[in-house]
Amino acid sequence: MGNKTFRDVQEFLKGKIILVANRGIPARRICRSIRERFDAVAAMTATDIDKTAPAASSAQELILLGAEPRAYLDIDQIINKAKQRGVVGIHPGWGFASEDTAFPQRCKDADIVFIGATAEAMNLLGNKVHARNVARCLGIPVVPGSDGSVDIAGARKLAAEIGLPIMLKAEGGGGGRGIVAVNTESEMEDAFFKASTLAQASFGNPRLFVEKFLDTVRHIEIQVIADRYGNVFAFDERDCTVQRNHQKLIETTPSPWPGLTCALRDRLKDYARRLVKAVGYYSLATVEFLITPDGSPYLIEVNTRLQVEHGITECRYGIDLVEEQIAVAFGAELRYSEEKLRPSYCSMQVRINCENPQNNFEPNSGMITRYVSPGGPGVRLDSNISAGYEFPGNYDSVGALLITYAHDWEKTLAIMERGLDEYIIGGIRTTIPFFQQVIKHVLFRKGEINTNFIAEHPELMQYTDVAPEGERLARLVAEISAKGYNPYVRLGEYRSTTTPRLGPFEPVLPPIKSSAHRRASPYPQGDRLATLDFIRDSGGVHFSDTTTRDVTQSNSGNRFRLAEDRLIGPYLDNVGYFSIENGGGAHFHVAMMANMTYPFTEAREWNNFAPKTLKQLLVRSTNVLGYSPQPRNVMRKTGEMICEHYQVVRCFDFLNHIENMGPIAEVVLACADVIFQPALSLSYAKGFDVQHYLNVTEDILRMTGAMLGIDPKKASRHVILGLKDMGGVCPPRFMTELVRALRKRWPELVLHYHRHYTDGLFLPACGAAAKAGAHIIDVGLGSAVRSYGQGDVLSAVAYFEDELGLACRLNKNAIRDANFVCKQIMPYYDRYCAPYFQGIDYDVTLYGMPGGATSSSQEGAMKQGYIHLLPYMLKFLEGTRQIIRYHDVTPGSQLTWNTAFLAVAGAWKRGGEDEVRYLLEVLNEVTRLPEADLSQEMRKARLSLYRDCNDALRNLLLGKFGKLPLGFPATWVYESAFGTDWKNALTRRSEASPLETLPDMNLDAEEKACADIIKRRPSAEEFVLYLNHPSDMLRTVKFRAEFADPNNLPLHVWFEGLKVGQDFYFNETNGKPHHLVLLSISRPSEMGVSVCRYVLDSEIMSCEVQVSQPVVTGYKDTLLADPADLYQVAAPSNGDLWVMYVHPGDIVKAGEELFNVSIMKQEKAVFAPVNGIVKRVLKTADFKEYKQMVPVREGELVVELAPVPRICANEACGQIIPLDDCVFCPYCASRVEQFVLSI
Amino acid sequence: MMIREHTGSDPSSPAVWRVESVPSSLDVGFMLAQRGDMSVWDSVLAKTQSAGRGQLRRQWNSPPGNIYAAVRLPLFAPFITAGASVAIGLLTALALRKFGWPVALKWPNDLIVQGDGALCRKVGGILLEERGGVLLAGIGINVAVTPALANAEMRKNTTLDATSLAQTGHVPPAPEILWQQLVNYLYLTYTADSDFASRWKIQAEQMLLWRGETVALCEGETIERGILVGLSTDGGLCLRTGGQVKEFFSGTLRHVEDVSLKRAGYGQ
Repeated sequence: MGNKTFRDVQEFLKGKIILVANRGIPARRICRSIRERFDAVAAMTATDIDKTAPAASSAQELILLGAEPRAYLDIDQIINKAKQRGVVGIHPGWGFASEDTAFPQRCKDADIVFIGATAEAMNLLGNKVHARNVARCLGIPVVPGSDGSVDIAGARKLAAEIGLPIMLKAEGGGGGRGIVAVNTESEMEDAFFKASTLAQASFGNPRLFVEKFLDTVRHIEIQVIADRYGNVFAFDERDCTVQRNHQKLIETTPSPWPGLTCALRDRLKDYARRLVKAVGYYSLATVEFLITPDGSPYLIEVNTRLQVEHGITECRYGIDLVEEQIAVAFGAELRYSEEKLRPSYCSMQVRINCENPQNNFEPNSGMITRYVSPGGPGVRLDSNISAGYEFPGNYDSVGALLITYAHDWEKTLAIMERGLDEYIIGGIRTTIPFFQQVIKHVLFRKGEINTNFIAEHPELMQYTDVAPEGERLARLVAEISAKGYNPYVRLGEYRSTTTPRLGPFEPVLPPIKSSAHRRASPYPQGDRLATLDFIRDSGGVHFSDTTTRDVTQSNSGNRFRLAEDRLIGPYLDNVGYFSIENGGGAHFHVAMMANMTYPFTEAREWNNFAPKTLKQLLVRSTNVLGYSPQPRNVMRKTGEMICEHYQVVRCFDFLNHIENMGPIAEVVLACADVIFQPALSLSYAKGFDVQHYLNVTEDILRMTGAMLGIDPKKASRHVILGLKDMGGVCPPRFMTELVRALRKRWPELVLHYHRHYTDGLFLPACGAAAKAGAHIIDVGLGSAVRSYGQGDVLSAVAYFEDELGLACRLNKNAIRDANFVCKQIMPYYDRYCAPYFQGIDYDVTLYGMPGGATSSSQEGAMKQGYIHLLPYMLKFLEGTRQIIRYHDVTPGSQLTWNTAFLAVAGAWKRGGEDEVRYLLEVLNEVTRLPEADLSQEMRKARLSLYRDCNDALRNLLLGKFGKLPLGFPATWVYESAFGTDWKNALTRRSEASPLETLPDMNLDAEEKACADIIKRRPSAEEFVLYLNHPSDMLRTVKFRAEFADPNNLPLHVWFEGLKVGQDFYFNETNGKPHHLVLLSISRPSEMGVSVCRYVLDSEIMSCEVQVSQPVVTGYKDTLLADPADLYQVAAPSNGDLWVMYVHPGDIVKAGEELFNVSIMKQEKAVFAPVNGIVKRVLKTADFKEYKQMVPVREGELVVELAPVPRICANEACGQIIPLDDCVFCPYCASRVEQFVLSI
Repeated sequence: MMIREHTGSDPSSPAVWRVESVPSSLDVGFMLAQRGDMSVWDSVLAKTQSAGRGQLRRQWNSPPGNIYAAVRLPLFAPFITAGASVAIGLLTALALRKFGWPVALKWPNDLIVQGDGALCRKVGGILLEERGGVLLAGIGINVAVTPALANAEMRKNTTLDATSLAQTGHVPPAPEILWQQLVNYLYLTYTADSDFASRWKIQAEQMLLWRGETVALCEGETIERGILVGLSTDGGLCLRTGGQVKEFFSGTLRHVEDVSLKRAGYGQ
């Protein structure tokens, strides 16, 4: 007769129904085994949520459990339905009721085979306390701890015996849950209470037992399987050491740990077999041990069910544990034996959970928008997800189990790396990128880890979880197309989906002859003295191109991108310019704010596509590339990065306060291949004469000389002096005078002239300077020249050569080619980025606003409704610069403009245009007449000139920006600007450089702060960017993570997006080509969301874009107060009304508190604006009494008042007289008083 | 009897009005503001209050030895938004951290000292009141004394026990001195950091108590449970519940042990 065989069971089960009482991954796994070998019908339980889940497709039948998500725990219902259906066996899977001892018992009662252990065996081994007892009887070492559950006194006693730290574990628990660590005696009480409550809630059993906390251990477990006939087979160990909070993350077999010797393995297997045999157990079980570094094992628990990580054992041996488990349950003899079954492979599993490791492994649920699973040799996948699946939040967060296997550990790791790379799950965060970090880690690969590995290596959490670049760029294109404009470029809603387009940008690029390519730059590189000597010796005029920085900064809002730089850069490189100014100033900031480009990476690329010409950038003295004064250590870091990519550094200070330039000068001068160019900020006005500028130059040379260790005369050979006329205000004759004087005084000092076009005299002024001996002139490409930048190069060359007889050695053909390309680019920038006010304005010589700011400042005035005051503001500028003397470059120009704006707007608010005119009259008098001739009236009137100024001007007057070039202004200015505090201000002012008192920044703390925000270590460049412009750097990092590098998108797509049906080809950064077609853009929903569908390469994708504000329906019912009606009292903001003090009929005085609205612990009192009587109260609340708050919206009518009525004078009556023309009181007939009750 | 001092040697530094015993420093603050004697960042510091108040006019027990102050806030971002409470909470918490106490923020602006293990105790509270264009932040910090819970109502509503700075082991200076240092720090940090208006939310999130953990937001009878995700741009509380992130602007925050269903079905 013999024991039943596997074949017998197979025969028996043909066509019979086996039910899996589980869901998701375990259910699918088991259903597969049921169908493969047994030809049985696989049935699966499913709640309403799981009916359509991907795993459900593996079952042939579903036993529906209804709407209650927890129905998987309802074993009675399951067994009843199973019985009705004629199910012969139930497999509980893992989790849920798989270790509920009632389950096998009830199945037995219902005559259904339970595919698992018996109730008795489950109780003996599954209960941790019982298991420990059995183990101890068998001489198997267990973790020191209590013999049974303990109370708090017992816990304390045991803790004292075995020593802290200890763990409090739930008796009914398992799977690493219900464990609370106790490190100190004082924690014991709270921890015990917490653990007990947790245990009761999770397992229905509040009892706890104590275990010693073993540190630096490995978690090793042995899988066993036994049949009813006493046969037991123990498999090789599984190593589950990589855990987090006692939850397993990665399992491997065999253990890669060198300490797991054959002897130890045999010992563990022996323990496991004996344990299982001792209780007459059959089915699958796993015996779990903790192994200390010296190789001592301690039993922790036994799991009497199929486990999540069973798959790796299956891969190691090439078997199916589930089918064997089923066979054993139906009475078959075990087929495995030591002789017949040998392990062949290494295997590893990672749990792909729908959790965000960077956010404390917070589970996330949601729609899976993209799903591409890995494949190829050595990959096994057990999953419950698919594209379009809405991952539910009601159950655990495991999405898939990814297993790899191969002959050796190295190959297994390599396949896992590859598999994780190939695995794409879009729409939710998963643990995939986290595992990629773990797999790469040296310690993990060597097998030298313990259970604290994850906790002790927080760097594993630092990564960027991004979709492939093509996908990200496609989403950006979809968003721009759906909106019709690009919100990230920060130009407002400059167009809509129906605005006519400029059309595709497909520039024609003239070929560059290889001879031109090979021709070297005439300027020596790498040695600043050599370069400067060349300029000195060569005669003629030299040029610098500012097209990609100052010209487009002034005329195209700095929106000229790296993508377009790449197009014209190679042509500019062949012109033979001394330098190309391609960075610094506001360009640096806007690169991150709107172009989403890293400025130093941009600079590096420039050196690649235009390697021959020197690169130049502009910095401010105290702020360098930021917007506030920089401490020395930050300046050093920024300066060093600048010197890596630029060879000419122009530095200016709006006060020409040379000490301010000191720190940056030091950094630049230390680099032998970088040329330092301190610049004079130029104004044309009394006091700012040639001698003044010669003095400033003397200061500059003395300072640089001191740094280089040479005298000023020698120093003049090592630097370039910049002459910076930002407004275009210095007339040609002044330039002649100035340049001549400079050349005479320091014949070896190279002069570099930078001038704006605004006044219209660019060419005469440059000509004058060049003729007088200025060496280098800043120019731009003609096709980019507009009102405010520099002038055009070809006309300058023609003027110099033909009219002035000066040699200019430039390659005109190269310029023409550059112009041709630039001409094709400019229409997009002109359409979308041009300043509002354009054109030449000679009056800039009077009011002095610099090129870049001219339009934006005036635009600001217009937008605020002050366009009619603009001429007055300009007049004010003209006057104030004669009183408070400095130069109109950043930030001085903003200061002056704000002062003018505030003064004029303030005067207008006080007394209309008359007041403004008077203000300017006063200003005129003050500037026209000497002090002695001013009348008393004037002396008094002038104090109002600066009364409206802001703190920035006050700081300037205090010297907080540095030393004013012509000293402090007159004392009355302080009286005007500071009011009563003016005397104080005088004592506080100083002439020291603001950099002197600036303490160093704590760079380590800043780096940590940055890393915390972006969740990874910032690169060297990112850190410098963060130090200079933190919020915009973060903006760019966030943008790049979401949308990749937008410089891969051509101009028209960047500004306009695509039309539906338009074919679009683009490359991502590494050159991989993509094809994108928009299929449809839906009409915006009520929430303002459009759905975009598109084809990217061969996949159809969709995304949602917020194109407009949601229509908030609740508003229809809310009555808004009429802001013009004083009697209607509105809620001051959104929030909760929590107390209403008045009732209808109450008489209130102006200023009396009517009600109070709370929002987030901010309580706003609302007062009656006028005297009145409360007509109606629309909402009422009294939180103290009723504990209820009533939500209100901003502007909602809450209380309506009415004018105070007349009251009958008869005290006994006191009624309100209803009609205004009553002579007698309608209630008591007494005569009504003729006046309104006054209160 | 009021004494006026400055927080720093610089006369342009904020002024502190010191009073002995008043009903509430908030009321004194409003009175002074009406007189024109209370500029932005000036404050009133009372030794003790007879009618100290917390949120929604709950009683704030005010025995001597602690800080009961009202400081005037500027009506500029971020104090002009709903997030004003969180922003001032952040500044105060930053100050206390700088002075050596491990303080976290329980949304919206309770000042919490984190002790051993998971024990959290409240060491201070902030209430903002706005009247007629004057915004005051009433700040109460237990410096030397841990007040007994005022009455049953407070006990029922309090989710965390109280403590004082002195109890943490790091001895605080006298409350007047600590308040001076605090206001100075608030003032300097706000005025020096031009990026504060855009950065405060990120910094506040870093200091949020129970971030990433399951919490319950209670308002009257309604309880909303979820994972504390962070702050919205307006400083509202963002909870992830039922698969969505929702924003809340009111309610009392409590911690919840993880007893929800999803763990019951979790494997090993």
